[in-house]
Amino acid sequence: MLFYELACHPEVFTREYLLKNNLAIKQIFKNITEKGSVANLNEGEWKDIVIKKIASLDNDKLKEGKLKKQLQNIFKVLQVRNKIIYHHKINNETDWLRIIYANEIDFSAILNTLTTHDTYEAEDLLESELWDNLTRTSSEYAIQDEEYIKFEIEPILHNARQIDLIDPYFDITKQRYIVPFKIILEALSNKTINKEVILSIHIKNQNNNLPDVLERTKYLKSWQDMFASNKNFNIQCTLYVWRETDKDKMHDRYIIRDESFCVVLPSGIDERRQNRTVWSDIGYHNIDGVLNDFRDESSPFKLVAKVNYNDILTLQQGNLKSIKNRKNAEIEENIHFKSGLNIKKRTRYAEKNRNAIT
Amino acid sequence: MSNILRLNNFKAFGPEMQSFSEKPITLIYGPNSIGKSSLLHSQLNLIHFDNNLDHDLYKSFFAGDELDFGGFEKYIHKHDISKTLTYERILTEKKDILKVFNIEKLYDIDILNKYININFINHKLESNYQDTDIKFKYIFNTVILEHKFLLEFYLKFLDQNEIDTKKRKLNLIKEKLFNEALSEHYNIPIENIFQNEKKAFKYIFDVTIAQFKKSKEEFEILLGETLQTKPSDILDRIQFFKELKQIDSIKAQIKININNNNIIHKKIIYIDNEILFASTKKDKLFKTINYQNHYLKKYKEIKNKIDKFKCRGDKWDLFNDYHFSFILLAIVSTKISKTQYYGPLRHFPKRFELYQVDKKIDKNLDSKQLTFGVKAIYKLVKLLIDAIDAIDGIKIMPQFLKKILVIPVQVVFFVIMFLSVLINKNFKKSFLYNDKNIDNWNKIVPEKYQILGKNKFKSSDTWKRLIKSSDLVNKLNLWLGDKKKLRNNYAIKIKKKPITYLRVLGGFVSGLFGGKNEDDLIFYSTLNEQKNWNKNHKILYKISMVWNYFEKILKIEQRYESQVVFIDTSKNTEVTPRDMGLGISQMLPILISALDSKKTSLYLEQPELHLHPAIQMELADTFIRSANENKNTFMIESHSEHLLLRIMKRMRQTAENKKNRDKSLDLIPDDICLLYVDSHKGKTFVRELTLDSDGTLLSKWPNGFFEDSYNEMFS
Repeated sequence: MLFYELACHPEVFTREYLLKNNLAIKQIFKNITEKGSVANLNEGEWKDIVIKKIASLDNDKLKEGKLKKQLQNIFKVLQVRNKIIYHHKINNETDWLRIIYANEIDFSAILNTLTTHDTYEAEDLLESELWDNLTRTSSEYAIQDEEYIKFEIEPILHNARQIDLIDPYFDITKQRYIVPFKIILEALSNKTINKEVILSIHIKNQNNNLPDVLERTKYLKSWQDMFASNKNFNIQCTLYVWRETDKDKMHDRYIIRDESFCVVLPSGIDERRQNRTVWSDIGYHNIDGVLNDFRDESSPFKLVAKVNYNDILTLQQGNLKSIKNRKNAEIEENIHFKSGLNIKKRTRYAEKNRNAIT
Repeated sequence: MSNILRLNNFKAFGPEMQSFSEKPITLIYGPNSIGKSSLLHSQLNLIHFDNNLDHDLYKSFFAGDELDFGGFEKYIHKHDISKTLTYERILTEKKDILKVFNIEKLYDIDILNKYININFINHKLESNYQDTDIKFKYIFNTVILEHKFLLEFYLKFLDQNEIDTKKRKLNLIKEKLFNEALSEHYNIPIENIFQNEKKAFKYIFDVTIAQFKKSKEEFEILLGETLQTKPSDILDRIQFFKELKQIDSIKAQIKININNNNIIHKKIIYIDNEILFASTKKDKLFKTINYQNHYLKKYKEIKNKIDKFKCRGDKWDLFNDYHFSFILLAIVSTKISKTQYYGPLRHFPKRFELYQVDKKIDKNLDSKQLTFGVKAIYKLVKLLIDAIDAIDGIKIMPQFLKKILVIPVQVVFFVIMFLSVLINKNFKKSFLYNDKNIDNWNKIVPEKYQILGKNKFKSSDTWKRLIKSSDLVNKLNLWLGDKKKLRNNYAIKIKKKPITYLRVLGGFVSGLFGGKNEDDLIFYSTLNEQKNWNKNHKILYKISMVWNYFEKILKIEQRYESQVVFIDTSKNTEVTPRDMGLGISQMLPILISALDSKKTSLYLEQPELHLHPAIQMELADTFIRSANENKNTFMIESHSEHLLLRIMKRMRQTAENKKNRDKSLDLIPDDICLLYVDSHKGKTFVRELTLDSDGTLLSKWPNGFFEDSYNEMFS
């Protein structure tokens, strides 16, 4: 799995347990800074408890003081890299394991002070096959069908705030892109965080999809129509159309979560039932290079169009100017927007037998 | 949504426009030597330029040694003087846009709110080097006014066409005609023409058609009559639009409409881009006056025209480019009228700089400091300006006669100014480039002739503020005495002691002959200097002794001089900023400014230098409080993680909305603009990083800014 989400019992951070298992705990959380995430359960209550527990370690004792500093640094990095994922509150629950089980997703692993049938102690987790599966590789080799895309994409997109989908050849009018795109929208809509998700799609200005003014407007409007249909899911979609230069070409395809985790997709996001593909994590420190290419202020490419729910902006006299303001367009042209991709919000509570632990 | 500031071709920044939001607190981060200071300096340059219209090729005069980035050739990108430096300010906030109207109080804001949807106003300033001088132009671009009436009208028009197929056909023809003409007019493809320009033309076109009963035949006949040529000829159609573009033609059209009672909605918005040129001259005083006179005149003309329209039953509002241009000039200038700059090395006051004579004497020195020549000029200029106003105010007098009468007055005015420069070689230096004199000038002349802005770029000025304001001393003592902030606390006292009248007379005389500034006068207070002065001015010294004697006999009010004294409270010892720790003394000017200033833009470079992390955080709180309570704005270039962490914490606390929090420290994302300057593939760029309402960073922090300690520990 390329991206995993770990749930952790706050008791793991009690002084005695920490001192006993400090190497293993540091190892796990250091790994999370690179390619995973940790659940901030119960509306952030988890983080508050853990931070307090770490702060209570004694500075004056050499080992404790050092561990405290190290854990504080790890948590600072987790915070900066947006790896502490917000989860909603489970009402009428005080037991942390129950809270973990009652959550809307199945966590990749559960870190606990005891090893049970589905929870792991720190050192046991590191030695387990599960951990090996989660962390051993940064590449996945598989057939890129609907099932595989779903399997990889859902954890990456879960409760994300900002997604950059970079695929120069992405074309919403083509069938093979519709299924993966629907999966993306479903995964994003299935969030428990009560905040808007920003989905930015970056494509290339190709001659065949943007031939002339009229066709271009029509094409961009088809994107806008599709975005309109997802507005109710609190997903703010924006399309960026880039023109490549003689020197700099656009070809590689990526999905970037919260600007802090990036997967390269050699065959693109489209569904390819026949081909095998390798999705790879490019590593945190390489993300800047990719992002800089797709931010207007630093990109070597020229941004020629930008489409969101409200507006279609295209390059005019050196600046992006509105060619179709939605509000006016609706009045002036009496436009009836077609329904785009119909996605349904799913409820995916864990179906395991939760009585086992009680 | 905040207003947007944009710029290009300034120092490290290339031709690509760099954008960022205009918010109360702007923080600039980034690696060393990448362009952070350049970004901050670019804004100071704009302010200086806007205030003084000064754009020298080799020098910049506005902050002395504290900020000297040379002239145009030094700060233009790659020193290529053929490049154009552009600044742009896009107003998107309705309150700011409405301020445009409010300044001159032409229109009631409620009415504007009710009838007009303004999307944004774009103010652009471009400057480049041409023909041995730096030319600049203001471009008030893309004033989009969407009128509700316009939309209603258009909707109605479309509805009617829906029913009548014949008319729908006409609509298509009209569309074609319109596009062709527009494209020809601008000489660029139709898709490259701004939407608002199209709208303006379309509206004029629509009104024309609508009033002629919307029949193609009728329209063509009338069009033919108007143009007196065949309507099918494209060139003629272009001519038609060109004519329509003229205000007089519109006026004529409107008159016909009113007379014929053919108007569906009696409102019109005229939209266009306007470019205003003004060539630079060497003396900013002349420039400013000329410049303002020029636009005042234009503005009055336009206002008269608007007023005439308004007379017609208050049915018409004609907003035109000149109107906006003038007011935009005013709004930009108003916005930036108060500015303070603190570079990375703050001014250390010399010991004698912490002395100052009390208010009364200070005032005397102010006026005595001016030479008789300068004073005479003041008086004359005031008289002349009064004369111009008086002539302008005579209602019965015809306009042309007024113009004739004003000309000699203006000639006399300029002759005096030139003569004064010729007579006194130091005039320009001591008068034109001295803030104090500009202040005095502003006191004398009517508001409209005042030189814009009172820039206090120099950090040395802050020390003098302490003497003048006991309130400020109290505020500062609260800050410096807070045990939570500083371990070693300080207190400030203002000591007063009587002064000798000899010095006052000395100041008077030196002001009379040499135009010495106030600092020089205070310098005489040191004993050696006074002795020297006594030797060199024996007669004056004797006179002053006599004067002193008389004062004692007549019991004239005793006068004092004030002195700022810092007391180390733990040791109860008097110290000066030179004796204090570098951190505190370097922070003081910034602290004074943040506590004392109101509605001021503060530009700070590295405020955290030499400070302990805990005080850096306290400083962040001071900035937040200053922004919230005193309505100051900050642009801060920094490397301080602690400063940012405190800001993020305050945002989180605001989001949590706890009742017992200090509300003066509340922060929301709209208050903070977090910028990161970096380079990619050889280009320097500014990126605005997004902060969530709870203070978390949504954008990736480039180059792992927060991760140094982690990397040091683990990698």
